[in-house]
Amino acid sequence: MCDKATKSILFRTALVACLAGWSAIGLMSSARADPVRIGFLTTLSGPIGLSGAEMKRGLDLALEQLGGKIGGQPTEVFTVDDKGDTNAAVQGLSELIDKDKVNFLTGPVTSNIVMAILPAVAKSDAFLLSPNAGPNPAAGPLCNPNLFGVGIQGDAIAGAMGLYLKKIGKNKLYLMGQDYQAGWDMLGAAARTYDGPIAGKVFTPTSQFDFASEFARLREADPDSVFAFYTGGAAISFVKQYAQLKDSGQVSAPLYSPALADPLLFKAEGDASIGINIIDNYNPEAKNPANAKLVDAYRQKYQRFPTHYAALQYDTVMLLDSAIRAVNGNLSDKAALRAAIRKADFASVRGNFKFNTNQFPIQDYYVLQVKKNAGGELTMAYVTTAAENYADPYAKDCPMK
Amino acid sequence: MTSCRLGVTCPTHCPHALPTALPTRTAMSTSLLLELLFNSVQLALTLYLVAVGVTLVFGVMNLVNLSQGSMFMLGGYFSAAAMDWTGSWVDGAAIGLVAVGVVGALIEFFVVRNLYHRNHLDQVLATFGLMLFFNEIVVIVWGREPLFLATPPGLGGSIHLAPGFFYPAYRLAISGTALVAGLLLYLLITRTRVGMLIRAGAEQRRLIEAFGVNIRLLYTLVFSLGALLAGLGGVMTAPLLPVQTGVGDSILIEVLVVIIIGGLGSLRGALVASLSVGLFEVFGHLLLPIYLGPTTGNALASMSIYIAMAAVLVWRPTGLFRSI
Repeated sequence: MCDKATKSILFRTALVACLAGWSAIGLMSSARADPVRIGFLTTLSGPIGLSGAEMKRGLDLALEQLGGKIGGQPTEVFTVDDKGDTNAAVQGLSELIDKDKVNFLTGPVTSNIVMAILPAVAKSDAFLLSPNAGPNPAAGPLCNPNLFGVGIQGDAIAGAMGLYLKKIGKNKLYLMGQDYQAGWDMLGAAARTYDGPIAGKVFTPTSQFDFASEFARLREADPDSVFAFYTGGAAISFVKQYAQLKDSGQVSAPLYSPALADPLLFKAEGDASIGINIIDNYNPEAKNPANAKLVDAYRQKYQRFPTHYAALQYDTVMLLDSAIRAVNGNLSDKAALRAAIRKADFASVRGNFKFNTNQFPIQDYYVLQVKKNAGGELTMAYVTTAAENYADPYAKDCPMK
Repeated sequence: MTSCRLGVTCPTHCPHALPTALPTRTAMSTSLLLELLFNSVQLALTLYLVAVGVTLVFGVMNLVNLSQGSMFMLGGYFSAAAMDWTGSWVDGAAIGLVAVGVVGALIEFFVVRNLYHRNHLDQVLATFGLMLFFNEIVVIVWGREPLFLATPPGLGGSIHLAPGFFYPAYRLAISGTALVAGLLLYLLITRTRVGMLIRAGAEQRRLIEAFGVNIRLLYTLVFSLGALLAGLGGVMTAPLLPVQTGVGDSILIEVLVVIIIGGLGSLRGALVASLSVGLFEVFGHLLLPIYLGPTTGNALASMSIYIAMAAVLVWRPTGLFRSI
């Protein structure tokens, strides 16, 4: 109906209106809001993929509760599977930083991945908020303003267990762990704080799943307690095989560990996990509103308790949310943003939480025991608090103030 | 420093702890030694169950088969699922084994059959691909969380075998089952018509085809039998190991060592090599760290079977045994 001229006028008006509207929105937000771009670099395949998938559940749930907006800002998440391989992690990281221009990184499950990507993170403009892994050097001499160990420091968690073993009067400790960095660190820290007689110390290769011979040696040493560091599939084997010996009266020493059992492993371990003592900085039974909110929503969605991994990833997002709110969404002032994260002014599901000078946590550590509740469900029941406001010993080697 | 006297438990820093402490340790050490021996036999027989499928398939079909690790894994998965479904350990294990056998036959029919006339590298690539395929398939079907497979009822305890020597009943059951399976296999190969054809196939493939034997069916049968035995290994060890993706991969590596030491295609060789690898693994991992310190000891123990393999390759490049 309308001729070419009217059409073009209409089009121009529409275009102008549109541009005006666009820039108005743009002006409103660009004053202080930058989109939040998260690089979620985690392990989603291979044996460790189990933990990575659980972290993703924590991330998804946190985003869901925040309406998809961290700090009230439009948020985009870029997910990369590092496959548990340091080379893949470094490559994925450079893609996240160069191509996706992320402001924040989170998600690594294991210490070796954090160590591998740390140099590139230190050179970049992005902050790495590590929800789980906290390798010793990264908390000490290699600490970096761009790295926040939001979850745990490996040495601190094992150290808290050692303190507890000493407190309850154990004096014939047997230590077993996987023969790699985390295993050496964990056993070393537990032995250091326990500071008592040691009945034996055994490292097994990471590929080993059958512990019959090591258990034969353990039985001869006749310890009164066993500290063990095994994860994933090796933890399942360890727990099942140890339970068989225990059931037949061959060994009696209770197990103490940072990692042998959790709600992810309950299905595979079954009743063999009952009685294992776990040291954790996350207590699923903690009575604080933030934890209640997490546990209720998580149970509704997945019909079980969240693990350490899910809870700490959830907590990491909530910390970030508080920091971005504190700087009113202005992500360009890195110093202000960093100060806001360091303040850790958020309701942690862990209760007490603050950052030390090395940007690793000062927090409480709990002893949990695997028990069957009234409904026949395996749970991590709170026993006691092993250490309050406990920090890792590496902060003194960190040049940051 | 405290001096060490006979009968006194020596602290670890005591420099001459070993000689003086020895008399009190001898009684215990015999049982420890026995236990280790039993452990190595159990490990060896498990390896043997998986190795049969590799060596038999190579001997008869001249095919390199790396999918045996997956069959080991599937044995655990199928049985765990079937036990969940039937509520009975024995029924579940039986269903699981049949299922692995069927999967083996299907693989032979759809994939492996096309590989007989290809070179060994193609066969390695294709069967390695199968391994990756099965590792992902179980994640898609059952999820990444490992499944649970209980110890069969009544086998949870230990058996008193000699004064002061207890051994877990279930580990004895593993060795016993594997021995029976090995014996049945021996009878099948040496005493039955099918066994005769298998042996003939290994020696003169063309000839028995010319005699009108349905060689395709025989191949399917052999492949399926190998899968079934690996599956049996998987079911039996599942109460001790995690039922999770990739659990067969590490077994496969040890099995390849067994095959190379024993001689590709030889069942006797596989048995002898399994026993040696079992002994090396168990005693190496226990004794070397004690005498050489944990770091060197563990590293050397992990390498020991590969060193043995390399030595055999130098001494006898085709392995210890030749014929089936």
